[in-house]
Amino acid sequence: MKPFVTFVVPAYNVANYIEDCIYSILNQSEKDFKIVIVDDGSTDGETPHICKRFAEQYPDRIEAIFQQNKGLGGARNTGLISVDSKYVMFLDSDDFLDLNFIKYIKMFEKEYSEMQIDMIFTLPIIYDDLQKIFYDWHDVALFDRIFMHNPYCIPAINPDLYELEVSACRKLFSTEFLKRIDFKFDENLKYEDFFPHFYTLSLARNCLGFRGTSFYYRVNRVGQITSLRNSARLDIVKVLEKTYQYVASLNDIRIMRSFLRQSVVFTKWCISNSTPEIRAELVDKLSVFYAQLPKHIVDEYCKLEGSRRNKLYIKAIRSKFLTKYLKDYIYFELLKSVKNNV
Amino acid sequence: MIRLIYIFDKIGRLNKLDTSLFLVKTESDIDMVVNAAQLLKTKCIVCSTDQETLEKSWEKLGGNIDRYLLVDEDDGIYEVQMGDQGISGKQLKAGLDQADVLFFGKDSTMEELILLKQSQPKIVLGDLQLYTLDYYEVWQHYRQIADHIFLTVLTKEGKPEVVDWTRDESNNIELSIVLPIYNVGKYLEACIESLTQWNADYFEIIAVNDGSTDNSLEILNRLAQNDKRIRVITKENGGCASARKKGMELARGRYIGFVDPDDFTTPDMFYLLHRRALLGGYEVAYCGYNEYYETTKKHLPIISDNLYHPYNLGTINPKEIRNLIITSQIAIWRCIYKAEFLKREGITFKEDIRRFDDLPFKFEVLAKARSVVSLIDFMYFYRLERPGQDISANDDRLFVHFAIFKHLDDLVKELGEAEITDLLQITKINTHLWALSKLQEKFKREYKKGVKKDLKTNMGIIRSALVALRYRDKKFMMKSLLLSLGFING
Repeated sequence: MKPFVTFVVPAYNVANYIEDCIYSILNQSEKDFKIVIVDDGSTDGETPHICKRFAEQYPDRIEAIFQQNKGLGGARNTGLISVDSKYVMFLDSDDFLDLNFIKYIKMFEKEYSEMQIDMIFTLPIIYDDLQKIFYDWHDVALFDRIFMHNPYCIPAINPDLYELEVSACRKLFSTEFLKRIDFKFDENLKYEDFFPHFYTLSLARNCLGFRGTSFYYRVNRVGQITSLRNSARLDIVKVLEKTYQYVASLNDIRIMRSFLRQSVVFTKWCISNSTPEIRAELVDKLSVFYAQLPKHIVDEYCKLEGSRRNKLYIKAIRSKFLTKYLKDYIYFELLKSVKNNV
Repeated sequence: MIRLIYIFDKIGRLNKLDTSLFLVKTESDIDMVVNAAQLLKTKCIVCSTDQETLEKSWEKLGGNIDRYLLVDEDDGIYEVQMGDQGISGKQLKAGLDQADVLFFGKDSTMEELILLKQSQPKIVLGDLQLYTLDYYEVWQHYRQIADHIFLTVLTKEGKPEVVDWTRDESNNIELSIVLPIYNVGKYLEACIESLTQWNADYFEIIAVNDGSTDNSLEILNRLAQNDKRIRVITKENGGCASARKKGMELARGRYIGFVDPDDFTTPDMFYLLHRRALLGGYEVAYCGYNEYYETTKKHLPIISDNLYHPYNLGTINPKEIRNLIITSQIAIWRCIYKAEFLKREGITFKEDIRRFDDLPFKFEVLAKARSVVSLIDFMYFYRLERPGQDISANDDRLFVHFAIFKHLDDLVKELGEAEITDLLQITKINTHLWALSKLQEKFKREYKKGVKKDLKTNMGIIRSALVALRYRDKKFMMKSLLLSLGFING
């Protein structure tokens, strides 16, 4: 019999954390799962050994794949090939699952078994590795607003779904659905979750929201290399362009608005977390991207945008004159001191 | 109940464990046992102080549990046989076997926990609230026995924090206090006495005698004979920085504190600092200080200092931590630092800087620290009006600032973060303003020349003024402008 869910776990130099992750799956109270670990050409020497050891120890549950480095997206694609379960979940190797996750989500999914479910949204919990404390996920309020009364939701009818955080880890995808839409992550770009969020949602028919705890998302881990200092940050512009073209082809102003809001929040974060040199280049490129958006779309977005800072930001970055000020964080900080009238 | 489930995850994979011992007091504790018993493939023992709770847990758990024990604070421990009708009456006095894991909940009392010490647990897991049970006391009791202590604590302010402690086989020291000593015989005894009044055996005092020419060494040797916690190290004179560096290298503690031997502290200062830092594993913990006037013997707590919210709750927000660089006069002697953090970031003292070596140290620590907590308590006494103090210098000794800032310029370049560069600029402006106000007239001309050059290393005049406006106010902006143009005369 096919297992209920397969976890695709990409591993790249995570010897300290991957054991926590894999054991948290193995310890599940419901054992209806498989694990595919994809070692993405780790260079620390230890990670491949750990993966191999797991695969030998639990041959019927765990499959380990070794490949040349292709990035997170590439590793997930490789793992996806051999998946044959009903659902697939992309778990990052520094996160770990809640003990009863599979048990509860299986019970939950059973109620909707007559329907063809494409995606299940879950609610992770943030685990601060520095202080060992747990926080709520960023978009709990929105999640509750969407799924409070009815855990069943259709993206075409309720486009609020697009506003949920873009992370791919928090979703369970139906394997059949991914095969049907011939889904693949981008291999060469960072921020691999951004485009798939819009792509899969636009094609999904039935979505569910599962309120129970799914996994613990680890932040602030020691030795975490933030991508702050390298030019991979510039990939965001390419990702935005690709997503914009796709969203524009859908010809739905509500989705476009969600896309703009997500992109504004995301790029603002990127800008304020970059080194000065990359920041200048990033702002230049973003400015070119935002300036070419048709004016009526931006106006439409601004009309319903509650945050004054976001409005100011998108206007500033579209104007050639103001862009140079965004390059300096001092002005960016001054932008933050603008009062928000929500 | 805070998420002990996560810990069960970690325990669940430790298949070597044999026995778990649960101290059950309330309904929610029973639920915890129900959850845990499913997962743990170990033998389980449930103990409680009253029969009712035991009966309730029997109803819920039944045969999943191997032994039921009744704990009586005065009489000891009884084995309870459970039958279909609850307690079947048989009660035998029983010893407590060795258990690998000990769980306890919020309502446990210290006496019960002391009684359960005889089970010699390797892992202690507890969920407690600060006002019912003191985590530090629990930790003190079990630190000799357990390999791993994990306590979730709800503080008085309602913030969940965690004690996550693992025993280090090779060394027993939790805290090292480093004293750089150079000709302070007059004050030394008072200083060390204020430290040794804390009667814990898990801290050490490292006194680095930096080639003193007075009777400091004799005093040290005498004190060290009576107290094994004092280690005396003698080296040739190399300046305060080199002494502190040497002490830091030899320190074995997980935390390191620095005290100046001419100052003194309250007896419980390091106890309270360590206590606070242990809860949450903070990288830096600091408290308030008093200025102590040598001539009048009076002291004055410095309250205009950034000790308050959010720092008293503990913060991990890098912005808030960095702001401390300019908003507080954190001198290094009223903090304790995690040794692991100093080592990881490679923070140490610069031997070539003969004076004010705490300034670059403090800057680097706050620029890199990831978690900071403060105690609103004024426990350090900083002695003023002492002849020969660095702080009272008013001649060319102040030129050391330029060497210090040269080091820091390199540091911020390496870090490459605009915000830290700006904070350095503010620090520079502040320090130079202070130095100019102190300096004798004949040195001012040369100093001002240095200032002009120094302020221009990282940014232009306009930008510098803007930064001053952003972090302070218009008045400070004007000062910054005048200073970079060389118009301020102190």
